Amino acid sequence: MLRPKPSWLQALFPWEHQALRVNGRTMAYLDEGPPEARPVLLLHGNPTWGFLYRDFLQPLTAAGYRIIVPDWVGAGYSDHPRLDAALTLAHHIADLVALMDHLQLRGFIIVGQDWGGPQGVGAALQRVERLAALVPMNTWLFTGAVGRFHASPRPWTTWHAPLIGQFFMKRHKVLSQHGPSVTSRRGLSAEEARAYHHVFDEPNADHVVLTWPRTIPLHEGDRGWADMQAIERRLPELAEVPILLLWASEDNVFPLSYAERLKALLPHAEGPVRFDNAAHFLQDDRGPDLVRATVEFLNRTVGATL
Amino acid sequence: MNWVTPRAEELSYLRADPLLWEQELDVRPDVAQAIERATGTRAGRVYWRSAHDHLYALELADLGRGYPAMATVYGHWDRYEPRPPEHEIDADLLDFSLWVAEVAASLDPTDIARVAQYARIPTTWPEDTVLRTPDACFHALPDFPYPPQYIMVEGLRMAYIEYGVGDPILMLHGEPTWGYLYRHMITPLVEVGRVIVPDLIGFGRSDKPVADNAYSYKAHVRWLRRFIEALDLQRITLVGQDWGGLLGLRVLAQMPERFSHLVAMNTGLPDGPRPWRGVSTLAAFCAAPARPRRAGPDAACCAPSHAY
Repeated sequence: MLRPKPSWLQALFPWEHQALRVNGRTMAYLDEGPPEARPVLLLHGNPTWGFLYRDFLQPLTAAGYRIIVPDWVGAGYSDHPRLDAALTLAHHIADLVALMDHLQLRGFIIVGQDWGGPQGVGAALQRVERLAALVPMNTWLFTGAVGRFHASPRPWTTWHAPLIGQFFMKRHKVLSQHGPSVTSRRGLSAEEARAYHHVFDEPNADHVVLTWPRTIPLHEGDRGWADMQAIERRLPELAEVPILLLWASEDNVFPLSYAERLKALLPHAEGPVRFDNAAHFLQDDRGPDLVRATVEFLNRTVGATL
Repeated sequence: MNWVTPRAEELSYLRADPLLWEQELDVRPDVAQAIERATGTRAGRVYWRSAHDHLYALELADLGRGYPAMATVYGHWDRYEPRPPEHEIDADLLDFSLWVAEVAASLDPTDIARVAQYARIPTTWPEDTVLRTPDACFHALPDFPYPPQYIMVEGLRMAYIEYGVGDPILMLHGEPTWGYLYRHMITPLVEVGRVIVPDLIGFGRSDKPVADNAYSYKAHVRWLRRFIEALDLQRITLVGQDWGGLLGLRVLAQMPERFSHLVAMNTGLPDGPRPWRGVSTLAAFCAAPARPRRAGPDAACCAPSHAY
């Protein structure tokens, strides 16, 4: 059902995907660690896939947690529909809720970066009685822009303008093929860069790389505006949930101003804990340090046993 | 944009290849409305001819939204032929993107140009796709003392000889020769005009793209036209033999105001329907026994190199 993993990827990413049919599409996910332990969902964003969390798997399972790493529909080893309607914020949330229900997750933890934040929290709010803790990293849960990146013409709004965006993003794959490697502070090896982009190599496999940016709700009426407002409105429901903000300090997309806005919306959250020498894909730049901070926080607040 | 109305006959022998397609033009209604104003259509096709002479179509669909909600850009190529080199398509699509930015108030063409530069969109011949024969191969050729001059045509170096003053006499070689073919005609002709002998792209000292599909008839005609425009030749006497005639005569038809005299030598302008007698002549030529060769310049030296 899932596309086979190429042999060159095996050493970098030895885990085997499971497959689940969600809302008519196949979703690929990893399910590692003891099945009776507290589950931690590690959620990636644009334009990556579960590979982003490869440094998290071993330390978290060694600490006794169960790890679920889904690839969002449209990305990674999940189906890549070329259909806007299958790739809306609401649809992504519904996909994750389907996975949570199928696995009967309870007492779970959401770790989310970029779109992993709103999509993960959006799904968690649908099953909020089963949410145990939350670790947002370089993400946002509100409408409007706090930083300059999403409002500035270069490259963001230019890349995503009608027809022009097709030229840059689909014909030239400037984001899906080069995003992680040009943003990396650590410097990716050729194989690591390939691991990120090989899932978008097929023509038309990278539709999500267009729909995600176009769902960023900057102005009222933008696609995703109503869904993001619904999430923002419900954030007070998380007042009793332990939250840790982990933040890369060199991220142009979600600079520290986004963390401060989140902190204002979720005043009981710990952090933001700053990580220098890390940009937008902080799990790749500082993975071992981030997972250490995450395990320490989880052990202290919720623990690995249910 | 160079909007055109192609004839149904022309479209019928072309193949439409979707290049950019939009499912959500409505994500930026201001841009969609600007495109509608600029093209004068909300749903339907408009065509334009690009700087590379390729025919493109922008197809708009309304979907009941009151403005263009979906768009597809097609390239029209020769029906059964590989499409043109990708950098030409990229250059044309970049021009189109710049036009979209120009008509839409919320976009700035300079941003598009910068992003293209940042993304290194190849709009000229990429490295290693063009060969150039080393200069040493042309050293001390018999009866050929004329120093070459060079001009860039669509990112390709085109070599030519220019000798004398007066109205230009444009001498075009064919297959498989180069400007050297005219070496005994240059000096006598200098008495009556300014002799200009280019090497066609792919020949002599001109650049040689590696890809077969670079050498279309259309591209040769375009390169030749650009060459004439770059040198701003007027009152031209065209001297053409073999492909020099097939190409030169077509260019003459496209810009007749630049030509004053025509000398056609063993050439023609086949237009399709009638079998060309030259083919049977060529067949006979190929069947004839090969004559012994005279000693020429060092053959090994003259293999094209990657000097570009």
